Amino acid sequence: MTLQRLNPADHFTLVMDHEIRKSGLAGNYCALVMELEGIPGHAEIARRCTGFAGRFPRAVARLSLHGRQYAWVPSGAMSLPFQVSKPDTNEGEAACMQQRLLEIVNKGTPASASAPFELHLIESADRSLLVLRWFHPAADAKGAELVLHHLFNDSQTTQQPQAAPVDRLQQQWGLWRKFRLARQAVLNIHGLDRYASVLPVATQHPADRLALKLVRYDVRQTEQIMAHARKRVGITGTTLYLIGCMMRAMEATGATQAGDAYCVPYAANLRRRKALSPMFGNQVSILFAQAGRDMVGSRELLFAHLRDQNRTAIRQELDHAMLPLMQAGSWLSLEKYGRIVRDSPGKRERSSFWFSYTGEMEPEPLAIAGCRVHGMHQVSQVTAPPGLGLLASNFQGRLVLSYNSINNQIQADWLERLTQAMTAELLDLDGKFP
Amino acid sequence: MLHKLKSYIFQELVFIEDPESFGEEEDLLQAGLDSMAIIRLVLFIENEFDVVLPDDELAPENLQTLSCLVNWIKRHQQE
Repeated sequence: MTLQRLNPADHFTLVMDHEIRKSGLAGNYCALVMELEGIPGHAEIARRCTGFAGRFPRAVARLSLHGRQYAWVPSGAMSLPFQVSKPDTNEGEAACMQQRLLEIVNKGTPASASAPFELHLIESADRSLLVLRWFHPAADAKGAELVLHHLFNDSQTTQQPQAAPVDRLQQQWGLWRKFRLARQAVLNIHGLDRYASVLPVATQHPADRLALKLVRYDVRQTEQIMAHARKRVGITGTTLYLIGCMMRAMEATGATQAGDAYCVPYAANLRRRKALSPMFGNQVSILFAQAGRDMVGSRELLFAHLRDQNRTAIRQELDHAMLPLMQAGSWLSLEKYGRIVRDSPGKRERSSFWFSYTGEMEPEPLAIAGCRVHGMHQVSQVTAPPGLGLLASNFQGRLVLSYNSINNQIQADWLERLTQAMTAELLDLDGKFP
Repeated sequence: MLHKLKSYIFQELVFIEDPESFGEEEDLLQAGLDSMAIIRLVLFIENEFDVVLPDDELAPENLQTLSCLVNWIKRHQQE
């Protein structure tokens, strides 16, 4: 493997890593958690970790600063790190396994020493969690799904057949097109900054660690939610429905750091759907959903607004516009870039909450190392503020919402009320919340 | 028109093993055309075929298959 520079989206996640660490948290680590029936063989997993590292040396590379930009360099590691743990389950099996999962995600390592991917197996007596923890500059969530696929698939693929979407787009654009797109992005951000963002309940304590709350919906409820999404936002947007419902749920729950509007960044995925490559690199740009509090009060108004905003954004190529801006940012120090990215001119956090919706896993793993997969969920560190991230995914027709929050900043009872309000919103229990 | 649509969809938006064998009546939504991809596709069509496709017609009956798409575009080209 030769030195490989971070693409602009990778670099953006490295800035978030810097910001997360600055908050007092571990770093920009995420996890894809597969819930298995039974315990897979350790030797089989270890063998696959070694084989994978041999086929894809970038999976075991390390970050290094070259000139003013970061790159992946060979580490000499021969295998993906793989660890097994058997937590004491005295206080309840599920709670103890989740606690161990959070220990893994909350374990900090300097960015330059962080493995791009680690595999962990958390065992109880008759079931297990297979955890792929990844360092965000190495891949986005869809890339992590592909890592898992290639890790446990017998195809022995060794190369990434096509140029990655982010690199391909950048190569297609001339200098003036990049300038024009970057200007579009700056104008878009200035427009967002006319309103102060509503932020979740928060205290002044320095952040301590990430906490996790999962809410699962069965197949029937998920079908109901998807039907409401189609009715409210049309064929073009489960993402917007989830974001809108979360804005309304926060409004119903009450936020102590009031602002004029909810502002939510979300990924514009540049990958081709169902493609098995590229695994590595973040292949996303960023879009924003913003809605004034006056709109959030009405489902009709809110969803019509979010839908129109999204269509206008894509018509104006804002889904691509952030890339040249992120490319320019990759020449700045992490500190300076972080300040520009997060703060509106009033030095106030721009994001009301972090959001990601990855849909169904592709390809969907039915079994891993001989054990049936019966569920999955995701975990991600967030910056503080806002101290709250919502990750949504579907697995075998069931929606899972993963609420990631800063333990000592987002109160457990507030989060509980928020998740109940969110469920009421998703299922469109009209009349309960105005 | 069909060839251009097919190339754009399968080179830019959705991966399938053998795009050549994808039939005009096969389900594009099932193949993986998602919300963001649909908006990008509409934008491509408007630029490429000099037509305006109204947002309120973004519905499965116009997007489900390649032949639905072609009919949708032709209807608006005639306006």
